Amino acid sequence: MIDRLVYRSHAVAILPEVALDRIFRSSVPNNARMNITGALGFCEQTYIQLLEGSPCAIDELVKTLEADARHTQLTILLRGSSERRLLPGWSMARVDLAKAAPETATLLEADDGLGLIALMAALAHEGVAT
Amino acid sequence: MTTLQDAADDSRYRLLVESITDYAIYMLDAEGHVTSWNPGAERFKGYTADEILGAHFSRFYTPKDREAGLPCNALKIAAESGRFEAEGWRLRKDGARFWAHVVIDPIHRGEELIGFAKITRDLTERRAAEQALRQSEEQFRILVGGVRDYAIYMLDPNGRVNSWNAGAERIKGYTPDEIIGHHFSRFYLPEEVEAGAPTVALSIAREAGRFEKEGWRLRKDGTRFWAHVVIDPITGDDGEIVGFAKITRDVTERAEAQRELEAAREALYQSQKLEAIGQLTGGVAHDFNNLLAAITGSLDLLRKRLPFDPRTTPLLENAIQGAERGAILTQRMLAFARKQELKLEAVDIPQLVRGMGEFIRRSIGPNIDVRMRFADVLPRVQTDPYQLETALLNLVVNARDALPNGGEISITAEQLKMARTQGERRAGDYVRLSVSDNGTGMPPEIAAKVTEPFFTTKGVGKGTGLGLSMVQGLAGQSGGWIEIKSEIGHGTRIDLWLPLAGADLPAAGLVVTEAVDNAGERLVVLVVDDDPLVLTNTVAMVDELGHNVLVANSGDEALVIFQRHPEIDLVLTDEVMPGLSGSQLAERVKALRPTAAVVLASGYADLHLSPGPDVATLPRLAKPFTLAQLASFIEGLALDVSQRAVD
Repeated sequence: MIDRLVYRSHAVAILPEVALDRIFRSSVPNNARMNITGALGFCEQTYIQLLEGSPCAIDELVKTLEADARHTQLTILLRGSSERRLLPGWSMARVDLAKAAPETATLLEADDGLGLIALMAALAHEGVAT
Repeated sequence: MTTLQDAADDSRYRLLVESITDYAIYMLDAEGHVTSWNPGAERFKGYTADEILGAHFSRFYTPKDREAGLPCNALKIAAESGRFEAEGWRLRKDGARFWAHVVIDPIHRGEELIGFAKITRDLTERRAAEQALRQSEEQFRILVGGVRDYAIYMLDPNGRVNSWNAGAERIKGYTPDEIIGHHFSRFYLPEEVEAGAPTVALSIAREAGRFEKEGWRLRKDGTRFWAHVVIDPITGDDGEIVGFAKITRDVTERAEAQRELEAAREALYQSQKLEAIGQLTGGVAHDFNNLLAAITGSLDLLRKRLPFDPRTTPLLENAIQGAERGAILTQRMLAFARKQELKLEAVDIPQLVRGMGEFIRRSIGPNIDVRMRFADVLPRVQTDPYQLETALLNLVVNARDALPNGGEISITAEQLKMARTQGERRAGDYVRLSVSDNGTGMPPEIAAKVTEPFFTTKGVGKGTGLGLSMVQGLAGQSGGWIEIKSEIGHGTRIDLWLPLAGADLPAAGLVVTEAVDNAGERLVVLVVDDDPLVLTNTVAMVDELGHNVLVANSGDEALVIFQRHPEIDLVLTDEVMPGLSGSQLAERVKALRPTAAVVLASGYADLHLSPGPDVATLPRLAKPFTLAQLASFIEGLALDVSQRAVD
């Protein structure tokens, strides 16, 4: 069993897309070490992150995230356990939420954790053009 | 009649006039001949009194003015109107011109005109200064007019625009003709005009001597820009405010420029850091890959050499599976969300759906029942299990959104046969996985469209249609399709038709046994690796394939062995080693014997090393490799070797 969690937070950086690159570079090796997988994206000034891993690893990571000065107002929208991961192939998939901006905004407005998880996973599987 | 007093006055005036050097003061007789001359006149005009007395004053005029009769005309005007005053060019004795201010007053005795008093000032310097000022004003005007990065313009005291430069035109979009004379409040947002912001700005400038602020302004085309505005009052000589100077900068551009700068810095940062980070994470991946190579290689050989035994074979398979998972982990170390290959596996649907059950029930809310019903015996289907789970989650979210007042969501699966091929729906055996709700439903025309990317049926406030396009994509790539049935007031059902998994497909999590054909040519292979664990393993594999093996623990040792054994066909070397690296070894080997084949066994980390041009084209075998991979790789090379032997 793994724990699955989605949170939202307010990006401190004016340009989250720039800050995101740095976050990825530090989070990917770290998540790989902790065997955490997931996806990260942003919508305007809001970061949305989906995390999957062992409950202990998730607990540990959430503590680290809460202390991270790059964002504020971290709110866990949903946490639950499941048999298998949605995104086993990514230590941290970078999802292009701009592709679904109105949907993302609507889900954020409703703090719809389940909807955001479904959207993030679908976007991650569809991939991004790089 | 001349009195003493008069005489005294007369001589005093003479003294006065004769001490004046800044003005030429002299007298003319009624015809215009010079009758007196003061030092000022001598200084300006260059004549001494002796030289000029009795001469006609027209010689001070330029020839052109003389021809035009200006001198006589001046006297005539003075005589008739009592005064002549003008500015114009006059000539000095040496022929040089000077700009003169001239006043001529007639002198009468009784009714009779007896002559003229003439006062001349040299205004050449003042004129030069005026011209210089005019020129500098003109230059300044050109300068301001030409500035394109700042809108610089003037307002009259009431706030109407009365000048406009190129920057203002560029930033705000109005030409001078369109805007001069209009009130500057049209640059403000309507709500700010209503709140009186333009008037407040001018009164602050007037009272505080300056107004400075950033805010939104409007261009001619109605678009907004973020402006930095400075207003300075301009006061006349009398201290009254004659207008305002307004300087506006488009800071939107500054923000964009900053962003570009940031991006450039970021690119630089990336290029600098990428190498370091590549080496760091790659280094871990490299070590890890070496271990995996040893583990998977040994297990691979064991599986091949040991007979099937129900007590040990599953354990062996288990160990191989663990190692393969490790290989996936190293892949993850730099995995961004590039589009992933669909990994088709044989998936047990009831097991997969039940595994999601707890998460769905927990997150969907208390008003909705989630029911799962599956046929007792259900064969595995061919699909990607992770994508299928994501697809189901999206379908469940859609169903939930169709149940604003609660209801029931069913997830069911049954085996069905497609008897005839209809378009993309090929005949065959399928499992139909259905997600249905008893919610609001959709009209048929909308149900037909929902699988289009970005189509959302639910309007603002609910969910996404994006999931459905992903669901459809997954079904199609798995060899199936989706069907949507919906009725208003009764609910929606979405069916995922997935083909049964063929016998050749690995069950999710199981490993394919690769067939190894070792009927190829028998070669002499030099295996080089500094890691004894990897070396032993590779040697065992090469040996298993039926080749003769020589062994070296380093690049330097390999070079010595290579020189001693001209029969070596192939050098299979690790890339990263202390001392001579694999690439360097390859270069030396090629220099000694160009026909020898060299294969670099690269771990993940080695991808970050940039090889020299000579070794860039060398065949590379990614570590960890299996026996089958090594066999086919060497087989491909053996052809080359035999071809070279023919040459």
